[in-house]
Amino acid sequence: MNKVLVIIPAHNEEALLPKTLQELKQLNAYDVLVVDDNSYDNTLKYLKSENVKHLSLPCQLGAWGATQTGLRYGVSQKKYDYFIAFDADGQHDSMTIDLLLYSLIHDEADLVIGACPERGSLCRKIAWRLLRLTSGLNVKDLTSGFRAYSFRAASLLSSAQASGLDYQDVGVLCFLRKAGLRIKEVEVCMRPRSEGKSRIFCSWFSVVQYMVYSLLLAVSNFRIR
Amino acid sequence: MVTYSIVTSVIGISSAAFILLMIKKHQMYVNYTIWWLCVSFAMIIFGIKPQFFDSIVKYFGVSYPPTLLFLVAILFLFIKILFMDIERTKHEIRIRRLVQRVSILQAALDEKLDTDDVREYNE
Repeated sequence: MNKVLVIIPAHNEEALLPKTLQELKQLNAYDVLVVDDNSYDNTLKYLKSENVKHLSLPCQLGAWGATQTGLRYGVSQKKYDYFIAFDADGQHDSMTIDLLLYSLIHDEADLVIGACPERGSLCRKIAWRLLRLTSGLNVKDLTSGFRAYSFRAASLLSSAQASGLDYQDVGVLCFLRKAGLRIKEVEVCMRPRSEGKSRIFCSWFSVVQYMVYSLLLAVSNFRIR
Repeated sequence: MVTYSIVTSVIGISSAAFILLMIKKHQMYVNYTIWWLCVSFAMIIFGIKPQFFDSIVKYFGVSYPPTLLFLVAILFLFIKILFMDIERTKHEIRIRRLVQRVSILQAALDEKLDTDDVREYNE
C-alpha cells in the first residue's frame, strides 16, 4: 500500500476549506496536510479546533512556498511515496486524485498534472499559449494547482534551488524538465469556483506581474520540444 | 581654483570619515566595508587633489575628463548594485527556507509537547 500525502496550501480559506477537508476525510484514503500561508482570517483557528494536521507559516510565502513547505515536510517524514497538491477552494474533485496517482504508480511519469484545458477565460488561454510557446513545455494546463508528485520529484523540489520560485507553474515544470523527470497531463473535471478568486487572475496588475515573471522564466529556460 | 579644492576635499574627507565611523561602530558588515574603504580612499585622494584625476585621464586619450569620471562612477555603481541584488536573492531564499523550517519544527514541537504553556507561547 502506497502512502499518499495530500498537501493543501491555504491562504484565507475559512469559507471553503472545511468542505474540502470534509470531502477528503470521507474518502479516508490519504493523509491530509494543510499549510496555512499566514492567513489573517480564521483558517488557522479552524485547523487547530478541528485537530487537522497542519503547518503554519510565520510569513506569507505564496501558493508555491506553501506547497513546497508541505513537500519538505512530507519528504522529511520518510513515509510517503506520493504527494498531491490540492486547492483549498473546492475547485478540484477529490474523487479524481486516483486518476492522477494511477500514472505515478504505473511509473509513467514523475509529475502528473490534473488538467482542465476547457476552463478559463480567453485571457487565460492566451497566457497559456504564450507561455507554452516561449518555454517549449508541452503542457496544456500550465496553471493547474492540482498535481501529483512522485517521491523523486518531491525531494528535488524541496531543494533550496526551487525555493527561489514564486509560482508553481512554469518555473517548477522547467525545473523538473531540466532534471530529466517526466511530466504527464491527465484530463480531469474541475468545478467552477463557488467563492473566492484565482490568486493570479484577480487583478490586471497581478496578471501583468505574473506574465512578465513567467515569460522571463520561460524564455530563459527555453528548450525545443 | 582654491575654493573648488576645498569643497571637494571637504566632501571627500567627510564621506570617508562617515564610512570609517560606521565601520568602527559595527554598523556595517565587515565584508561590505572593503568596498566602502576603497571608495572613501578614492574620495579623499580626488577630493584633496582633483587635478590628479586630469593627469590620469591623459593616458586614456579622453579629451574631456569629467566624462571618464562619470563613466567609471556609473560602472562601479552598476557592478555594486548588481552584486547587491544577487546577494538579496540569496537572502530571500534563505528567509523562505527558514520560514518553512520554522513551521515544520513548530509542528513537531506541538506534537511532542502538547502542554498548555507551549500553546500559549505559540499564540
